[in-house]
Amino acid sequence: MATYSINHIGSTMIKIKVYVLSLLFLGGCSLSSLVDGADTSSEVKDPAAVRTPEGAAAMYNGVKIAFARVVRGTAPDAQTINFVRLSGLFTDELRAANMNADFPIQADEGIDSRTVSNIYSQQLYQNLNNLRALSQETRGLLKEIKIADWEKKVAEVYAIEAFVTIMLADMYCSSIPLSFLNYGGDYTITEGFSTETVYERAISLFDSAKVVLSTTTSDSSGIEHFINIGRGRALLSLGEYETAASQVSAVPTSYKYQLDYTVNYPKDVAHASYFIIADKEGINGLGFVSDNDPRTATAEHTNKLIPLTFAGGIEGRLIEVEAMIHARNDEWINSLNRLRTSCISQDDCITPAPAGTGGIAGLPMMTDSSLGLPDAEKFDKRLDILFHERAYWLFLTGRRQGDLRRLIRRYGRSSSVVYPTGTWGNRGFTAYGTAVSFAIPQQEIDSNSLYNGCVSQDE
Amino acid sequence: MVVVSWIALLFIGLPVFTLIAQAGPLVHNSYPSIIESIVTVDNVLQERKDSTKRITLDVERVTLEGALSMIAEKANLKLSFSRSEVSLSGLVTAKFRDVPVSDVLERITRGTSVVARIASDGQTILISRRIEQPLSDSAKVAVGTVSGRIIDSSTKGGVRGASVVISGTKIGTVTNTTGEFTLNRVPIGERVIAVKLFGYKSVNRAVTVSESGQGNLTISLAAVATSLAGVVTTATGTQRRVEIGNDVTKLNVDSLIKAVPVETISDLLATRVPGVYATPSSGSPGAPTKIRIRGMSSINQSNDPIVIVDGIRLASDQTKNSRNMAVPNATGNQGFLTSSPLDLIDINNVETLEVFKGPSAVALYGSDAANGVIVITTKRGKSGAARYTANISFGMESIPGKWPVNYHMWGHSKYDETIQMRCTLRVQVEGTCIPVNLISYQILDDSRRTPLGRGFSQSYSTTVSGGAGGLNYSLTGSIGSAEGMLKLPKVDAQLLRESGKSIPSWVRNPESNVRRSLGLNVGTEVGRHSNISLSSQLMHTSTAGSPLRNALTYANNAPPETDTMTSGLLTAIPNFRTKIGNQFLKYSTSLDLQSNVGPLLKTQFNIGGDWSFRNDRVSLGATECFVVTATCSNDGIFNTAENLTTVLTSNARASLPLRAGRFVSFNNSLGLNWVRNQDRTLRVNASGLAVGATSGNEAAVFTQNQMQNDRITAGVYLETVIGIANRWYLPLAIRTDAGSALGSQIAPKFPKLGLSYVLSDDNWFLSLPGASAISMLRIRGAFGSAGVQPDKSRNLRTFQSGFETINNSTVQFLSINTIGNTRLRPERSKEYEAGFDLDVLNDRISTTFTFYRKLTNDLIIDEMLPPSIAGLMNQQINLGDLKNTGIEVTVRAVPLDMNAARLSSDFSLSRNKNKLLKLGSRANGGAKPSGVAVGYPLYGYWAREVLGIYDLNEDGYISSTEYILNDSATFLGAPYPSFSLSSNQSLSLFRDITIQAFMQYEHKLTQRREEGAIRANFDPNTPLNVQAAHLYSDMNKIQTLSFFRLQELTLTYAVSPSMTPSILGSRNMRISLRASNVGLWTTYRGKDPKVNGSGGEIIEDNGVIPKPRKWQLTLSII
Repeated sequence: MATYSINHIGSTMIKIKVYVLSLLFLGGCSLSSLVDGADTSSEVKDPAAVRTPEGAAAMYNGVKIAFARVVRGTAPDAQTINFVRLSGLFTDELRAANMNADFPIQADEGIDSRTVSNIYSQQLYQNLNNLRALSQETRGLLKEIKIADWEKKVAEVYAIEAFVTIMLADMYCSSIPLSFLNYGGDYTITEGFSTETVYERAISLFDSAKVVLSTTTSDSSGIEHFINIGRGRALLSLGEYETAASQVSAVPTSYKYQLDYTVNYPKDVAHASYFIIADKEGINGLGFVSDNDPRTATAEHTNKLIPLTFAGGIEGRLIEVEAMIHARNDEWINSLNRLRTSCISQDDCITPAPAGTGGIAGLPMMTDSSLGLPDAEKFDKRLDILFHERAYWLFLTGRRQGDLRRLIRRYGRSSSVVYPTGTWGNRGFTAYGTAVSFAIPQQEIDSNSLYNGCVSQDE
Repeated sequence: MVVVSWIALLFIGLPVFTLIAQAGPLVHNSYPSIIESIVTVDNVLQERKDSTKRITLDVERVTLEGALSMIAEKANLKLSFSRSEVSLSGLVTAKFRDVPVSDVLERITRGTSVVARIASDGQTILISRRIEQPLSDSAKVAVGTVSGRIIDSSTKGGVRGASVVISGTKIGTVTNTTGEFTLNRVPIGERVIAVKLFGYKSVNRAVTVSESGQGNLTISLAAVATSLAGVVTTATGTQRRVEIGNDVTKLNVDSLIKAVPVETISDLLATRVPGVYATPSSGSPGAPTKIRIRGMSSINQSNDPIVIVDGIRLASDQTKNSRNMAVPNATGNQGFLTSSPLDLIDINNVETLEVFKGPSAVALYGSDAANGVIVITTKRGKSGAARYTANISFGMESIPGKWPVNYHMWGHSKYDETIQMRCTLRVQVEGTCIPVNLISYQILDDSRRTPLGRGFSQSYSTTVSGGAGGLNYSLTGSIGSAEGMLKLPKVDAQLLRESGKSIPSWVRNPESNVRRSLGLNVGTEVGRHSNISLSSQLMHTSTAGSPLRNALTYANNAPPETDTMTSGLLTAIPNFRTKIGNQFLKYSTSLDLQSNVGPLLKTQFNIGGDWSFRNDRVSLGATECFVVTATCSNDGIFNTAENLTTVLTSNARASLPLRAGRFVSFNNSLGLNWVRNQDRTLRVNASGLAVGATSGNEAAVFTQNQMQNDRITAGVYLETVIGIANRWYLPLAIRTDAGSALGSQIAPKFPKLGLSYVLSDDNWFLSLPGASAISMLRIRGAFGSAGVQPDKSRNLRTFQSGFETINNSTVQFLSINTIGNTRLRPERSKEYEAGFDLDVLNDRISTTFTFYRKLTNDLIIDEMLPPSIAGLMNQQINLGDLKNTGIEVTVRAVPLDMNAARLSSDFSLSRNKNKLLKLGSRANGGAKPSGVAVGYPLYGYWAREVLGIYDLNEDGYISSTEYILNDSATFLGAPYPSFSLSSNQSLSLFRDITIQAFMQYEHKLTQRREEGAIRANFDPNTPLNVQAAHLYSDMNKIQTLSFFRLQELTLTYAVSPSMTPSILGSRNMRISLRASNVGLWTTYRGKDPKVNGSGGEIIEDNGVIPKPRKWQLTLSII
């Protein structure tokens, strides 16, 4: 091939080429590298800043703090949205305080009267799902960064997400979407799942937690107990009583998983302006005040600076008792009485009574009032006693809503004999509503193309 | 991807260069074209026409004779020539490989004075003199060279691109970047050189050409006043206006403000640029003006144009953080807006201002420029002795005319006649208030109680410029202050005095604004081929305000003074003793290096930064309990918000003009633009200050919040402007960006193309009947695309950091803030523009017409997010389309031009139609601003009509349960006028007196105003339907209106040097008296239709101080 080339200004041409290529290199080859910016403000916008050991530790802290806030308070000194409060208001544990005509209607009055405020139900829904997403992101980060005891931390984060999933199932109507974040990517939306499926999802998360925990060599019994209580709680909701009891059998009665208070977000138990402890609310309610039961008057419920026990060995024993009732095991009453009267150690007792005076804060032993009843009535009577004991042992821990709904779903009780009913308050509302669960917020229906909303709030 | 696109761009360019090379002449003297250097010719074509022997030749800087001898030797041929007849002394560098010898001979002698051919015997190379046609008989044997330089008669600088032709021949060339030219082979003898360039008057110059040549010829071209003369500053550097397909408005600010003492950049844009819509936020000193160019393009992102000063991007976003960040929203003071960054620029330091209005013009500014670009060039020094200019100005302002009247039914309590009270219709019907008198009253027209008085302003500015030893400089310093019209009402002042309270000056005059500015420009030559210049501006403004401003809102309901009243307005404004302030310190600097690399290539490097520090503050000192009715308590607050915005810019550009023959030129530019925009804000709120507390540290409640944003954009662009015959110009360009606010896979491309055709220079046009009346006619068209970027955080999963103390241990934690959208792209605007420029009757009338159609796609909208994902309600995604169409027409005429009098008339008409075409079905209603609906203009107004009324209890009063509103709201109108027309008339008398008048008409704009105390709320005789319409519908608060305003009236007297005071020496001096807002004729029911107190896109007259009438006396020493 022949070529022609006549060059009168060769050196200038070389300069041009070098210049152009330099510009190309500067502009094209490294264009992306010219746009990396760093941020160090309270709003962290640089993913690289999070993908560090410090970031992973802060994310883990974030999960724990968000968990505490979701369960017991999301604002320092206002009408806070939290699971314990909404569960208490919705059931017979708490009552809206401003029920007189001079006050504007508060959103929590709608919760208390079972007419359900969308504002509160939506905010709780957001908070629960925000924590789910934070857990998903955090465990992905912990698996990537692997800070000290990362296996235990990942297991705990799995378990927290599982407990949050149980809270969704306890509180919201059947057909709950469980959309999720893809670590390092976008997100995936899902259709709505039945209440049973959501509990099963929780169990699978607990399973994942156990798998990760099995790889650690350090002492992980605390997290293991936490997982076992969670699995027991979910299995109970699915009606798998024997399996649930076996899950919690190794959890000592003295075990407690506590949500510490923080300076900015103390436990939300002192807002007398907005709610008060209810007493025999709506015909079916228990006498949380008039019974003078020491378990509802403990410092744990009245002092906002005392940690809240979210899960513990006492719940494990109660799960075992429920399994005994199903197994027609007459030992059930002794198990309950052991909780009421025995102080194995100070940790077992909320306020230990003096030795020999009859147990915790002087609780007397119960007798089995079901004895002599036909089997079906005996079973129901024992359940009544058990759920009464659960109501007091687990008072203001967010379990009451799940228990009342379980009475309907698992034991066929009517909502009208389980939840508060009849006339509510002295203004505006004349009767309690019929809802036994919160509706999924309208925005989920409007924005999630796979979701069609729940069928009913009454079951 | 970016690299690939770059390489593709380069490869588009190279074949074009190659074609040029094949067509171009080979020049053997000192400045041969670059084109030849890259000639690559396939030999296939050559082989078809010649089958003689092939040779390979490689010579460098040898004489032509030497090269020919080597060819003869390689081809085994003899060489035959006569040294007395031909000259073979020129140098040549050539490379041939395996090329037919006849082709080599033709190539190597191309463009020389000789021809070489193989004789018919096939054994000899014959060299003879080249015969040129047409040549006179006497010139056939003798030629010479003519070289020289074409310069601008005023600047004395070289003029690029001028056509230089020997009349009667085809010998011609075009001047290079420094204005130099060389004509070879010019027949000796008397010749005429014709020089022609658009924008200059053509010149014919006689020269005598001899064999020794004619060198160092200098020809001056005088610029003529066509509308396309001159250059504009584009992204690729200085460009001739005629070469671009867009309409660009260029204001020579330096000369303009000598005639009319305009005070701010916003003032200039509002009155001198068609297509720009400017809305002041209030008449308070330092209040910002919202600038929109060719309508709005965005719902969630900024609609502000970007501002470039001396090549450096300025932080100029007025929309973002437009409010005083320290003012708590809950106090009702949220209307306080901060100073405009644009108006911080000292207009006295501005030489030119250019407005590029849409994406078709600003594609090469890329991802941020869809709303237009304002390019400001600051003053430059010129060589010579130091010269100074000075301006001194004093102003006075007030609100002219009467205010809309308020109505009150004054009465007394049913239970106690001594208790006077206003009786609304409701309490009249209830019977608790016994009406006595229906009175009309307006506190703002009550001289004793009005909070409005006269405002005063003054400003001083001076510029020193000059140059010596190659160093040019310009230094401008300005200072100005203004005291607002807001005053402590006389009655309140009296009450305070009587109660023994001292009145601080900031309570007497709560509004003020002080502006200071220093601008410096230094430039010098570096070596023979480079220039370097440094430009810096230091700007500061301090603005003070007060909730007393809310008096205008309170005034609507203020009852007339009565004997029983013990206080004035201040009792209605309990927090009036709050001090609200804003400080803005801005420094921008730019370093510019321009170099000529070789004869053609020009490079420019430009780096600089803009640092804006802003401090907003609100203080309510618990010790300042001087108001009559207030008691001192621990209620002090001290809020501050500090913001530091840094914009760093770096530009690198290379431009390379090339030519293909005499008629085709290529202006090629390649550039890199890098901009980093960092923004940090710290807010500290301290409340519960005890009496006597002096700092926020003593507050009972103390909170702080920090925010930061950091966004980087890097773009590369390539532009080629193809010029044909100095009449056709086709700019082609593309830019691609990478941005930290964009997903990693997002690299938007912004193309641009245009056409500019000066048909009045074409012969066919000149032959048309009546063509002689047309001085210039150009048609133009352009297409381009540009974007608006999202905030950086929108594409990232971001986290909120915090600290908690758990069990006495403080830990840091993170929570999810946004989930991010990695697919987020910039909003993208595509614009088509077409129009023409026409000068007729010896340039006595100049007209431009422009039509544009701008489509904005990928609007960034808050979309509802399923909360099940992460509990978050929104995510920004690209949804929705928007259209802006409009026309802009300008007419500049000189109807009268005599020695004693000259009248110049400018008219401009602009029209913009804005329409939202599409909005995603899941656009979040909560986050979406009101007034946004598909099929309608952005931020239009809707209201629900009263369909029926039922006075069920027949009490003559329509209560809240006795009317029916339409289910759907009716669209009432768009916030911007359907068209606006402005006119500037300038009459010069005896050359030393000038009268200028600027008028503006805006047709059918719709806005909302806060109604005062309306009659319908008090008068029991009000018809029921009127009651319902006023009390329960917004229909009456929203009005579509038109107005005509005599905006400026200026009288300028130019004092001749002989009459200037001796202290000033023999200097030109001008004295101007300017009145602004002289007259207003409108259908508006409020006070002034042109005010927007909301600070946002929704135009709302919400009780802020309207535009004042201002008198200004200015003395200019020139």
